[in-house]
Amino acid sequence: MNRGILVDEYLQTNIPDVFAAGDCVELRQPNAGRRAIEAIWYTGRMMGETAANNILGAVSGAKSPVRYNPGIWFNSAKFFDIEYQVYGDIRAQLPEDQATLYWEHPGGKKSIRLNYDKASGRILGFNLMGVRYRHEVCDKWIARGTPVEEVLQQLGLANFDPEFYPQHESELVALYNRQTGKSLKLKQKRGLDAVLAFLR
Amino acid sequence: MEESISLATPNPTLTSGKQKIALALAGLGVLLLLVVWAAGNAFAPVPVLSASLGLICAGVWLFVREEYLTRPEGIKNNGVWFKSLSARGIWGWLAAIIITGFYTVLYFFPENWLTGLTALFSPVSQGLRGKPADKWFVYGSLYTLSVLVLGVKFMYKYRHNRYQLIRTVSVMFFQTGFSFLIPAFLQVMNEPEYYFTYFWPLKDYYGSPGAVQYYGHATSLSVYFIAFSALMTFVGTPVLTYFFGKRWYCSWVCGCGGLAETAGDPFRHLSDKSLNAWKIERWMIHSVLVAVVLLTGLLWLNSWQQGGVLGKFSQAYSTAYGYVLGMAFSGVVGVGFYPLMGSRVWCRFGCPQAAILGIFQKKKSKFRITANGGQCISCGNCSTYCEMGIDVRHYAQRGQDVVRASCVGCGICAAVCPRGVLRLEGAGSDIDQRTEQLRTVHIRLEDVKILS
Ligand SMILES: Cc1cc2nc3c(=O)[nH]c(=O)nc-3n(C[C@H](O)[C@H](O)[C@H](O)COP(=O)(O)OP(=O)(O)OC[C@H]3O[C@@H](n4cnc5c(N)ncnc54)[C@H](O)[C@@H]3O)c2cc1C
Ligand code: SF4
Ligand code: SF4
Repeated sequence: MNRGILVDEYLQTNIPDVFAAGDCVELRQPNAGRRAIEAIWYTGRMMGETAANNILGAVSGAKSPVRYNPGIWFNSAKFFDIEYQVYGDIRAQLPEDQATLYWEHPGGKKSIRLNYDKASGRILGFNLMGVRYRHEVCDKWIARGTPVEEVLQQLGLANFDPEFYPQHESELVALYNRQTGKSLKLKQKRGLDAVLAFLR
Repeated sequence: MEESISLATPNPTLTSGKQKIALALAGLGVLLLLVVWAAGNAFAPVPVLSASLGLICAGVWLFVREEYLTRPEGIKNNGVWFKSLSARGIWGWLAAIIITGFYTVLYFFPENWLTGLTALFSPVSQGLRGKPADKWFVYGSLYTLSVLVLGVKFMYKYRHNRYQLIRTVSVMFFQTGFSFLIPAFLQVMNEPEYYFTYFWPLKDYYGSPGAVQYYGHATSLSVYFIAFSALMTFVGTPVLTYFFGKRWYCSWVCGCGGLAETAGDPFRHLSDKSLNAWKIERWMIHSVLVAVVLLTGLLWLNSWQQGGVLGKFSQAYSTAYGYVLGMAFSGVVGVGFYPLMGSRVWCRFGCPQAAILGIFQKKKSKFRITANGGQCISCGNCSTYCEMGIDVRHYAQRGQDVVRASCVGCGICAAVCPRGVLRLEGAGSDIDQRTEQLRTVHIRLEDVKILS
């Protein structure tokens, strides 16, 4: 025990055959860029899955244990009636080496933030209020370190809002152009076929 | 009384003073209809009908504004499991008995049981169709009125959601235009009554030799009516379902769906989500499809043989099908059981059109409900409010797209999801693999041994 129940990368405690998962856990060796205690729902689920697998595997001896790997950070919540999603690395204080593109709807209930690396332009994270983006698309962009300008031009791939909802991708591109003097164009509109091709 | 601060508060959700007045107004309007019905006399039809419908509309409108506009927009299903009407309490049962009773009288009792109401609606009927009302006109009027008034209520409730708004305008439009006004105007123009939004097999008659014979010759135009129906059955249905899924019909056009989506909305959570219900549903709906195919086949065989084979039998079969499915199931049970089994009893267990659309939707359609990556928190709202009894959560929490024959694409699961996990959409490039990806399950089932 420390601040949580200490577990190894297989979620096993120091007592053999005793595992822990969820809010109570403190990882001895978290992945790079991740914290030892991440008390949120999604990590809880992934830990549960991993622990269950390792318990069953260990007991039956059928297979080697699986390491706990939560992948790229994501979370979501709902504040009153406003949905919130986050994908990737979004800090409360913008680090020196990061830049941000922040768009807000005039109605005040929607906003989109894209954070990227100042030097290389690599996309680092998305923060969304009242707007839904596709998890896997954002995940793949972040994992690949896709340049923010490519992300902006392809931004339709990420749109996950319901049908008939206004699409704001071109407003983001326009905002970026205004702030940087570039003249990017939105090349990819919303559409599942394009998403499937991108993810394949 | 101590107020509970629990999220699932057990405190009764009370109606406000304004809402009580609104309910009284609407109740008075309904009472007027009941008095006319019981008295068998409309007294002065125009003022009485105007007063009754005016009171109902005003009452519902006032109630709904107070209910939804006093709160921020967004999903408001507060207390549905605690209110008597929507939780199979006394009011729920009473509503079920009254609606079932009304339908029984309508379908199975002689016309003169409804003389008061037919007299009441006669001026409207004269104005629209140039002839006095019969009980079907009364029924059509009340049905359309329900779709319109409760459609407006639905739109207040889901006013933040454009998909729901547009879809509801669509069902209100098709019900009023194509199931009420156009059939009436056709009669004024001396054309036979026709419903362009119903096709075989839901309207089994339109696929029968009798209908082809009749509409083929009735007037110079009517042959196109029946040709349109045939086109919709054989071409329109598969093509539209390929592009949009079953929803183009079931939750955008159909009148039965229209009533379920509007009047039935407060009861949608009552649908049975069990595996058993799903099994029964598949047996029932496909049996009805087989029954209607047999029926139509027999009628055609009989007409080709000029009554040679099974002459009387096929007629008796047709009559029985009409009574059991057309009336008892789709009407009495279909609507009467809203407060007991949810709003889509007929659509889910009985409708042969839904069966066919479902087969297309499952086998060859772009449509699916996408689950967004690993975002589901297993809260179960989607399953709760699915009127077709689909356990949407089962798919969502595995990150699996939902492809189910019964899904009518109402979009409510997506609307109630607190995490925005679900999206109704379509793609042509992966139709046969729509459901294969499990986005959040990182461990293969084969790798896990279940200890017995
Ligand atoms: C207000 C709030 C909002 C949140 N919002 C979000 C969000 O938007 N997004 C997000 O990802 N996460 C959110 N979280 C975090 C998320 O809810 C938790 O991370 C998650 O529920 C933890 O799951 P768990 O199974 O690890 O623990 P828990 O859900 O806490 O389960 C622990 C269980 O153990 C039981 N228990 C405790 N002691 C004993 C005992 N001695 N014997 C037997 N049983 C015992 C408890 O009764 C409980 O059922 C939020 C948390 C809170 C409190
Ligand atoms: S799965 Fe969703 S869209 Fe389909 S019927 Fe159920 S609630 Fe409606
Ligand atoms: S409503 Fe949304 S979060 Fe809740 S179980 Fe369904 S998909 Fe998951």
